[in-house]
Amino acid sequence: MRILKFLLFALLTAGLFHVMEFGVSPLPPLGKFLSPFSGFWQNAESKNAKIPATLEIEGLIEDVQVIYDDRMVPHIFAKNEHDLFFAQGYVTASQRLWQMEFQTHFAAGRISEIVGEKAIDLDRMQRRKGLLYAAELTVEAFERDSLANSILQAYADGVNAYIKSLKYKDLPLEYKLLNYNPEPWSKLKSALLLKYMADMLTGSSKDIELSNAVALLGYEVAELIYPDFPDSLIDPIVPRDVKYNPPTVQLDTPAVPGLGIRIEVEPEKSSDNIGSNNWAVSGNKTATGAPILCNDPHLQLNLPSIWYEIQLSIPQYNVYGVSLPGAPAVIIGFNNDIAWGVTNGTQDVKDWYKIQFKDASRKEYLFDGAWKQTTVRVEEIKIKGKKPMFDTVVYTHFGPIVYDATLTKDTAALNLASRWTGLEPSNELMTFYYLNRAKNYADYLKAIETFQCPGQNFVFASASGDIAIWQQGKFPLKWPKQGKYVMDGSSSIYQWQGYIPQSENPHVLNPLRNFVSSANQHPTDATYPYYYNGFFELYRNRRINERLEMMDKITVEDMMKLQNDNFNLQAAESLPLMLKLLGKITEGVEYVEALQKWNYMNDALSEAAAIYEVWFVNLDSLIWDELYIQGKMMEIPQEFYTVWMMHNYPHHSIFDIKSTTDKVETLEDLIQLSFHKAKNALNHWKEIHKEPLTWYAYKSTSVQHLARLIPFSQTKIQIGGNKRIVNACDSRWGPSWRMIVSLEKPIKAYGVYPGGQSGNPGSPYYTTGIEKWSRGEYFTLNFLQNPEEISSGMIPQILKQK
Amino acid sequence: MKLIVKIILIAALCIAGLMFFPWYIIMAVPFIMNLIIKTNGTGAFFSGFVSVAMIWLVQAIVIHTRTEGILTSKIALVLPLGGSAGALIVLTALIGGLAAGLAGYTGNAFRNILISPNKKKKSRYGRPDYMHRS
Repeated sequence: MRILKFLLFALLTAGLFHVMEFGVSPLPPLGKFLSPFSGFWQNAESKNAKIPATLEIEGLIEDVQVIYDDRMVPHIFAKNEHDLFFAQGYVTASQRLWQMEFQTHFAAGRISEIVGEKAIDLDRMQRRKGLLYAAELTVEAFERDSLANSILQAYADGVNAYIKSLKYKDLPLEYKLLNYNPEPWSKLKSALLLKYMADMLTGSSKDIELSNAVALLGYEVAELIYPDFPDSLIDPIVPRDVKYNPPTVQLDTPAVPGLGIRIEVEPEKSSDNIGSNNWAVSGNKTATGAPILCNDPHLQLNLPSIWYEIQLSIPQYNVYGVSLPGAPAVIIGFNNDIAWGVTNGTQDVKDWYKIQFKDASRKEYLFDGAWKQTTVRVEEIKIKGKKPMFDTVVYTHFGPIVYDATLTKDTAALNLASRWTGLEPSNELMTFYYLNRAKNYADYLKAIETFQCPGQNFVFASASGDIAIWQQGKFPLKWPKQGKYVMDGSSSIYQWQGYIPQSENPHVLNPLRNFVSSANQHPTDATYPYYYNGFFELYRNRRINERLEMMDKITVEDMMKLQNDNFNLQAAESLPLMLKLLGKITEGVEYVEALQKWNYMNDALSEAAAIYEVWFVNLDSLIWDELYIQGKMMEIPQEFYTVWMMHNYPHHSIFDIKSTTDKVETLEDLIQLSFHKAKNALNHWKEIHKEPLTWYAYKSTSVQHLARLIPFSQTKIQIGGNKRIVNACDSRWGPSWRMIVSLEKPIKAYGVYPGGQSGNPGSPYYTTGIEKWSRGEYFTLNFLQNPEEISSGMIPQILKQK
Repeated sequence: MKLIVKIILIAALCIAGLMFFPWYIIMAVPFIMNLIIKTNGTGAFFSGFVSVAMIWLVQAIVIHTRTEGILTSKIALVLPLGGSAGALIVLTALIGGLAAGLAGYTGNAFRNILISPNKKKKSRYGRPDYMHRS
């Protein structure tokens, strides 16, 4: 009896121990997690927490001085480059380790390892896009370059020194919550991070969507609503007065471009919200006579933030800016001589080919009348709590087959291979390394010339007075329309024939207008000697250029105002027509009155901005009703072209609502109908929310935790703007780092980002910048010339060699 | 009286143990202590439960106060406890207490099979068994 009783309770105790130590999905292991001595409680940080004055670390060559300022930005002073990048790795990991690893797990298609089978589709897509494959090639490229290799190794060693110092109680909160452990950092993980960025910025071309549009609407309509180059309407990066030489490379051009293949695949959602602004004004236009450089990259608003602010200093150079946690060097920033920034160059560098296999084994495919061999990569996807899954990815000479019957579970599915510059070995990292220490235009040029993917608009300004911008990347040479639509993979005429020579990439140095700028628009006008396509932004750039053109004696405050400009150019160009065609109404008069009084500013508290945006969204979806087809990859035309159609083709058949057979609608009908719908939607919103209608409340911008844990996120942030507006903040995307650098002596710099230096939701430094960011305010950046410039509120720390 | 001594003993050993060992030292200590020191089943459970629940409660409150609750309500939303910091602190104490209590009870049950009924008539302190049952 006693034995039975003991066994019963022993079993019960063991069971309880098991649950509390190992967890039962979806709960974390409660004993381990809740223990105030080692669980999540240990991640709660006090404002007055002490930073140790010295840390002994194995792997340093000499001691490193780190100064943390009042926002916990580390200012690293090392005596040699090895220690600099080692310390960058160590310090970054100490504040952002979980994010660093999670982002690279995401890129590598390894999220199922952490969250289980719900992430399988995501992981499979990442593998098929070839991100892991590309990262492996990138590591080989690093290793061929001894300097790059030593930088990445020092960074990895620094991260690993930090990881080794951790006990369970020190682990970042998310590891405890999701119940797993960090693995050692490696060069591969840094490479994965770079590919994650390349994929985010250039990984989603619209070839499949556009092919579907041709199949559905015909070639002429497709070319009308998705034009490549409305030359008279655009305001390119390179000013129109710049003249180009004739092309130095000629292409074989096919008689018939590969067009109009209907593609039956499930969509991978892509975002058209990615964008950025940058500009530099020459000293001729500023109050101080020194150039000013500004940059704000627009990315998904996440916590921990994609950016980590840092200063890196060795006797040879001293640089400040934002880094990507997981990669060495500063990505956007300045030193004592120059400043630089980036926006995305949205040229299409990913094309799709329909592959014809010999048989079901997919070992051979048709190419120029012969059978060509494929190679195969078997991807093992580990799944938490389950047996691993194996996905066979077939590679052609173009690249991997992303979509096929095994992915879509549809036997009629096509085999689509992608050709993407992001899958070629490259070493983008060294561009940033050389920019960090660049002193003038020549250094900048040398730094960026090897940069391949993602193509970026590198804006530049120097204390010596130069301003410049280059669209730099590896851009394929294309005959007209090549790669706009899915192409035939069985003929060499459709494959890329080379790349635009680097020196002919669009660029301008010290233009007559005394400023350079980019906001993801067309890089050139139609006189550029090479064809290119892509989705280019058509509003922000015109507003920025118009403002910069008008300004003189520019101050830093003027630039802050411009970065936070809420002028809605799209509304200014569409609302008057919408109101005119709306005519007399009986219901919703108050909304029309608000719109009539509106100054077109999408300010946070504006009611009219909310009314316009809701109305336009409703109008847009009525206009493009023919494109909302279940399960088809379709692309809604850019708002700019929608507005252009409204002005120029108000009787076009696209304005007819396809589901009504008894009537042919015109633009006028749609405007009236959409206003009615918008009015109902707005009334409904007010009923539910019981607060006055304001743009920010309606838009409800949130900065969300990477694992989408809402308690670790900030929601309903009071900020105006929208995509297509200079202050490009919609509900989930926005300016991820605003920086303004005045290249006077000494350099003055200002910056802010919607997050904080610490990635720990239990840290007082988790959301430091969000409030200032939302109000359009900036922090003055502490660009220390030496460690002796430490001021009150800053905390010194020595990393001692062990 | 002896129960109070035991609670204090377990608490002290747990606090010391938590400095060096994982959280489950709070299961090992009451198990061993109840194996060594004789109690009845209820006493065994309570000695573990009360000592560890108290330690975890106090430590949770200390951290919560020192950090101005920066993480408490966030975790109380993740878990899900409706965002109540108080509920999370109580849950913490209950979980620790339960684990320790059950381990203590099992330790006592183990003692009962190791020490045969004959030997049990006299305890280590030379007094009849029934005298402790108060």
